[in-house]
Amino acid sequence: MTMAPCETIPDAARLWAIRVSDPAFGDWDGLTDWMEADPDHLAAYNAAIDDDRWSSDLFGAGQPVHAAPAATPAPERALRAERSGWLRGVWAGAIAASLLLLAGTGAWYATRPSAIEDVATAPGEQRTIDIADGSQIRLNGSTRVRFDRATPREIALIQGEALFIVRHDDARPFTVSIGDSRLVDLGTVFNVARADGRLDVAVAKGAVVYRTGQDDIRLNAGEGLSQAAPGAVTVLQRVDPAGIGSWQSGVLTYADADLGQVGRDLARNLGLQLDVDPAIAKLRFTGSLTITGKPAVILARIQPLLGVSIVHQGKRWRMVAVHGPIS
Amino acid sequence: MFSAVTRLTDRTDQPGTIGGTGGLQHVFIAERARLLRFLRVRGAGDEAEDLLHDLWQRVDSAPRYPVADPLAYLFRAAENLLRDRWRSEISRERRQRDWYAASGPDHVDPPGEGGLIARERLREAERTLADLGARVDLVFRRCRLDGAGQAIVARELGISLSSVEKDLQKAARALAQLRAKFDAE
Repeated sequence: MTMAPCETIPDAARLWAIRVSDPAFGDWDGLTDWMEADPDHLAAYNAAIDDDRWSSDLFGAGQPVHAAPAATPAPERALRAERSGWLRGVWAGAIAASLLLLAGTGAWYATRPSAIEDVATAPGEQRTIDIADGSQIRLNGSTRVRFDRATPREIALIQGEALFIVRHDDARPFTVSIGDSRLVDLGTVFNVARADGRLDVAVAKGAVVYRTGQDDIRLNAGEGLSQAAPGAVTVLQRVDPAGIGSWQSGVLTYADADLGQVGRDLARNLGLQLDVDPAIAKLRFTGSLTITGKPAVILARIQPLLGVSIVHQGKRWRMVAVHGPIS
Repeated sequence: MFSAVTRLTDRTDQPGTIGGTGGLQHVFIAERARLLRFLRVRGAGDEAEDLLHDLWQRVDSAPRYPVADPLAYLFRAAENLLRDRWRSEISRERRQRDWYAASGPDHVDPPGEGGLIARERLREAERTLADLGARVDLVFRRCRLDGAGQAIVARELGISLSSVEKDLQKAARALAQLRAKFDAE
């Protein structure tokens, strides 16, 4: 990193702390070099992090929660990390809201007086919601979930994709509603995607029950279900448990998925419109796609992996056979 | 019970599990020296080897998801480990100091005072941010309070990533000065 020569050590340290706080930060060698350059740099960096935590606490909002490795370490650590993460999660918003309303200031929370809360992500953005009981919801891009602060274990997935890491409680089942259907956890990690009426569920650990009103379908780890539209035939399928939720780390992993599915995932993760030519939508793909970087570059890179062409048409992209229709 | 359900046949011709932490462990071993150097200068000093061992255990028990950039993941895990460690040291020191302070006679806040002070401080911090200009205020809120990525906020506002960093730096500097002022009161 280039530093202006006149920049003070505390300023430089603050800049490093800001960069490291970004989930996309990658210049760890640069940070190491800077620390090594002067023994005072470490203390300044720690002070910058401490100031940052102080201001975050003051504002009642969290340090941004990354899908960071230390958030899911050994069980006893995980418990502590999640509990400490609680106040820093969305619930801090609720607490801050009452605090600010009392103080008669803070218009930005006062505009949300209802106990019903929506959390949404922009295309390509990811976000983690920590729930008081230690459960976690990781939202993929273009996703919206809704819940009542009074009953945080009842989540509605309005649209998009989320990975649910649920702390099971027999007395209070964790449910995810998708339209009129509900998923009830039996101690589990599962992924749900909802787009244009289509529903895809995949279970990584434990089990969930899919409840439509008439049928109860139990899904164990390594199983999933798809529905092309509400009320359509429910198709059960094998899924690769290791690949579930891999979108969090910028990788999409498939075992025998159809290209229609791959196309929907790419559209959601890259935040663009992508159609798959029906002629190839049923072709199968097994493998991993890395999806970090510029969307156009990613699409160009994965064409040969999928054995397709992905072409730009106006504002949309279209996945076609390599020697696709010359239309 | 399984009406309207088609159960697809299990496929036995699938290749082995994709992803997993195998790659992560491989990278850990290959980049051991780099991680060790980071831990050493980042505050672990002579205990860097021990912490590297802790890190290995964390990695080993991590969820079996494929990781896009294993090296960045390992550095992030190391950074988190050191932050946890530093925080527990600081809070231990503070507890000891508070215990000494509390044993003196004049250090008991009147009940209810704490909440009032916190609200007053929050108002002052908001004023401080507002004084830095609407853009700095907005960038700080989006990145630090909403947890949005800096590149996303840069795109939203149509400014460069380095402008976002500079705005956050201004906010951090002003809030640190405010904190020092509060501490002196």
